[in-house]
Amino acid sequence: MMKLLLPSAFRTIGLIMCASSLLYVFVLIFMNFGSDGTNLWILEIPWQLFMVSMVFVISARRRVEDEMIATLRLAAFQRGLYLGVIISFSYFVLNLMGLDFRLLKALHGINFILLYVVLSFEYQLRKLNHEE
Amino acid sequence: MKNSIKVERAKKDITQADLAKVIGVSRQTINAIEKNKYVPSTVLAIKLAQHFEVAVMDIFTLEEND
Repeated sequence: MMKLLLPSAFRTIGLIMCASSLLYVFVLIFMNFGSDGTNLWILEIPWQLFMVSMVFVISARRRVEDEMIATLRLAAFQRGLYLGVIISFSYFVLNLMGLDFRLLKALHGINFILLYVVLSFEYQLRKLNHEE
Repeated sequence: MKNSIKVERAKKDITQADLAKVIGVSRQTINAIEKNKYVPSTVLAIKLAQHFEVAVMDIFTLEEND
């Protein structure tokens, strides 16, 4: 019973945590918080919390042993990797051009990639859940 | 590749969840195979065939474009 309940609890807690922390990060970004270069650590806290919650969600799914789920997970990680390369490259090029996009700066990093991986994976599973 | 899992399931009057439990995979996997969205591994194909007491090729058949 615990084997079934634990992954599900992990996933639920993780998803709630990541949604709330991500919302908080974006609210702060759009309010132009920390534009004067101070108090940026406040932004850092939910961002790191978000990262921890992503690990919760991913580790919950890792506990499920199923060949199709493993395939979906791998595909989601591959897509996340491509997205990561695109974001990092855009960020690098824009930086070279002397442009500083605040949003892109926030997206640059492993957290956003992890979010994409988890959401795309969950979406694929949900799609299969509702078809019978 | 098409398959007749849904037909075989209907013959035995079992749900996707029942079949998934017996074979040891998730219900989503059975659903994905039935909808031709996922091609199962050889091991899983043999397990399915054994469960339905038919040959693997009676369940899974190649299409022209395969």
